[in-house]
Amino acid sequence: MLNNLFKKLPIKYKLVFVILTISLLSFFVSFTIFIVYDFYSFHSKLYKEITQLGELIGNNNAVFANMRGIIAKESAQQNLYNVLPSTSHIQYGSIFDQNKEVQAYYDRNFQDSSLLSIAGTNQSKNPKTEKSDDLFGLLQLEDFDEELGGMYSTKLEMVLDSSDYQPVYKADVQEDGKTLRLFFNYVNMFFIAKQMDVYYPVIDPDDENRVLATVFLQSDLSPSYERYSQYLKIVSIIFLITFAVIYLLTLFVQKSISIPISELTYATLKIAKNNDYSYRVEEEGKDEVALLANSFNEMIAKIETQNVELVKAKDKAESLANAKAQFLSNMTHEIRTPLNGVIGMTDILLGTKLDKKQQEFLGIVKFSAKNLMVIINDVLDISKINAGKMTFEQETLDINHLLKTIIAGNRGEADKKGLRVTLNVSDEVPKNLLGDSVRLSQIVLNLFTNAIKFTITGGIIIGSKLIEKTNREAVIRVFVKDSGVGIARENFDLVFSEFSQERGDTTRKFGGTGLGLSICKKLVEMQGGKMFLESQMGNGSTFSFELKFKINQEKEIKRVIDPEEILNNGINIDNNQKIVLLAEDNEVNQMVVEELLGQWHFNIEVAENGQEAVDMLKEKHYDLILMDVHMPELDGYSAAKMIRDDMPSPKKDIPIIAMTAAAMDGEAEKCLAAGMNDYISKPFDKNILYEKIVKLINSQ
Amino acid sequence: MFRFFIFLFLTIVFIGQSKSVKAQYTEYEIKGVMVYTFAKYVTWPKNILNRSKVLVLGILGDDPFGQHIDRIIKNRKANGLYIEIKRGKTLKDLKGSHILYICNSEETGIKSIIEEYKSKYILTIGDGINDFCKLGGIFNIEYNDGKPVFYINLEAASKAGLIIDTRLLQLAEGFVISDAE
Repeated sequence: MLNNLFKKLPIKYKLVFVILTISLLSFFVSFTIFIVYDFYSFHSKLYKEITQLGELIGNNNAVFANMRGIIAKESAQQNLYNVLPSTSHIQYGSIFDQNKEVQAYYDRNFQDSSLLSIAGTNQSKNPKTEKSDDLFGLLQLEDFDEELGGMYSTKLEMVLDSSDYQPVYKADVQEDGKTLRLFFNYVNMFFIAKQMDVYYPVIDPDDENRVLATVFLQSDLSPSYERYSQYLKIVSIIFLITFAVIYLLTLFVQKSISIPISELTYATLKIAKNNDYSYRVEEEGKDEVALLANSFNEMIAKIETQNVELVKAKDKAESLANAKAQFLSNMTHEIRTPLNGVIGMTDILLGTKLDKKQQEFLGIVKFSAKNLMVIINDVLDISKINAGKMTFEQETLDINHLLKTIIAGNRGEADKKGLRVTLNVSDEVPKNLLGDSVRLSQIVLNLFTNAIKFTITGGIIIGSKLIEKTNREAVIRVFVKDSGVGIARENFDLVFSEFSQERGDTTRKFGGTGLGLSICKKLVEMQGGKMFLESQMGNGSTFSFELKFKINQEKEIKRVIDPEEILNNGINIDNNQKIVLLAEDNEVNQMVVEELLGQWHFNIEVAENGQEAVDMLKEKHYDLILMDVHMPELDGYSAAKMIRDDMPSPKKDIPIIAMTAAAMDGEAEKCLAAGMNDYISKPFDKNILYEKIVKLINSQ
Repeated sequence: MFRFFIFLFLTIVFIGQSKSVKAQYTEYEIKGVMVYTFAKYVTWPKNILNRSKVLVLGILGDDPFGQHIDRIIKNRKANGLYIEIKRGKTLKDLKGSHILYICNSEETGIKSIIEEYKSKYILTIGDGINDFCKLGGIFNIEYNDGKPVFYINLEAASKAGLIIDTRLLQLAEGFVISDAE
């Protein structure tokens, strides 16, 4: 557990821990040795000192002791009190005679020696009855011998138990190993003893085996313990200083280890975050950490070279893919332009006087051309979706109006088949949603044309419904219901997959690429919506989708002229006052547009390129310019820019509608950026063109 | 029960021990110790003691010590020599003594006794004899208020050629000067 804890610690604390442990250990060992040595030497010294004192007292009182204290007790007592107070650490002192009886006594706590003399006289008078509370009062006189004529026994017993100071004679002590005993004495003393007891035997000068008396001295050791508490204070201070120094040193060492490691970690994170493999760690010194940094740099260098190669490979692959997409875009453009001519001319031709057979053949031509257009558009969309290049605009849109427009523009086919087309929209659907109207139209149109295609009798209902609404967002469901052949449940998934229709023979019977529903589903899902299908064999089908739209907080969309109304009310006669300038290099397209505008009673003039258009505008007043973007000499974008930037005031504000064949991304933005008001992609729906022209001319 | 006996046994042992510590001295035990101490802390000239193998203590008169003095000095040395006791009624009996202990019984003829031994390297000790030191005796042991004390005549000691240890001097009750002759 401790091990785990240690592992979790940062390197910094590990270092501090290890270094501190080692230094503290050595510190304490040396301190202990010092203390023991000091204790030993201090006590040896003290022992020696007390012994010397004992020797002095012993010699002084040798004669007294030899007389067994029978005379001049006061003098011996006085002697002890003269000598011992100068050594403050002596607590008790006593002299024992040969019979181990106390003959004189010193107590540090009784310093007044004047008490002694009084005591002496008192006692000699009547020691039994008159006991003073002085020192001698502490000494009990015993066995007062009346028989010996007032002489008293020399036996003095301490109130303090004299057995505590029983002298140990030379024979008892010195024979058995002095050093060993000394050692144990010290050990004992160190832990318990508050005092040091010294017995000094006074040896008979005539007989070294005889002890005349024993001096007992007891030394108070508490001053020496005070000394250790002093030591402890000093040591604590030293310890704190050492600790601080060690801690600082450790920090220094730790910096040299963990900072480079932290830097490495930081570098790793930085590289991981920014993918910047050119970053290198600084290498300092030659230790293990520097080695680590070195190998880290080598590794990063390798990764960097690998990355460069990978990027090269990726760029190559991307440029190939781009080339492919470009090729596809160009091809569709190249195909669309002549196809536009075919469809336009067919339309014009159909408006001329033809016999029935010719009309039938031309109808087939138009149908085939339109089919071809759908196929090309589908292929283009699928390739866009697969390349992930499909983007969605965020513009204000009115779904109900959009549905109405779609029906208006395409009900012709349904009318031909005798199908009833009904619009069933909900008024709750907000008119100011934000979304991509072009893609939305594409989806609805696809479903609508599918419904027409697969319905033989009955009708088609197109409608909208509000599912959910908050202040900012709304979920709208759009449905297309038909009374067609219906789809078997097990084929629901199949109809949405690419290049497939419900049955193999459907293609032969109804035509189509089989891409339509797949594209619809993808477009819905890419906008975060969901596609639904309800159907039963023979009972028709309902295709629907739900999309979440943001609500435009700024404004409600302006009510635009109802296209149905335009078509129904016929062409505005006022149009013949309006002059439209068409800038278009392609003769077929010139013819198509001229014919259409003529049908709508507009006056029309044609410029072959952008420069010509600009020059013509300088000379004359026009109400609107239809501008092809790809033209020789001066293209549509530059011409529009010149008009907007260089022309004088009323002329430079002329409405310009761009006509573009490349239906790829960015075209619309490019047109608007060049200052044009709107754009229409070729081949265009004539109704949409009319709507755009009328809208702009009327806004003038 | 067993415990009780142990307790009893221990009590007896300890009582016995504490009794053994107590000691009492009779007058002549005390005087004997004092005499022995004087012998120990008085120094004779080297040449005087070299002639002898023992230190002779002569007791003049009726011996008051009995066996006490023999017991005290037995196997004890003073001035590096064992002590031998001679007892006698006359000075002749005690010839060769280094220490002369003059008993109470000799008080009457004391003057002549002292005269005899003055200045002859002989330590004279009087057993409570009046004016012993005044007459030229060196030590006199007396009882003063029931306390054993001794007096010293230093002049007499120096005339006798003896040196008294200062520590012994400290214990003396008083110093006496010889009467003028």
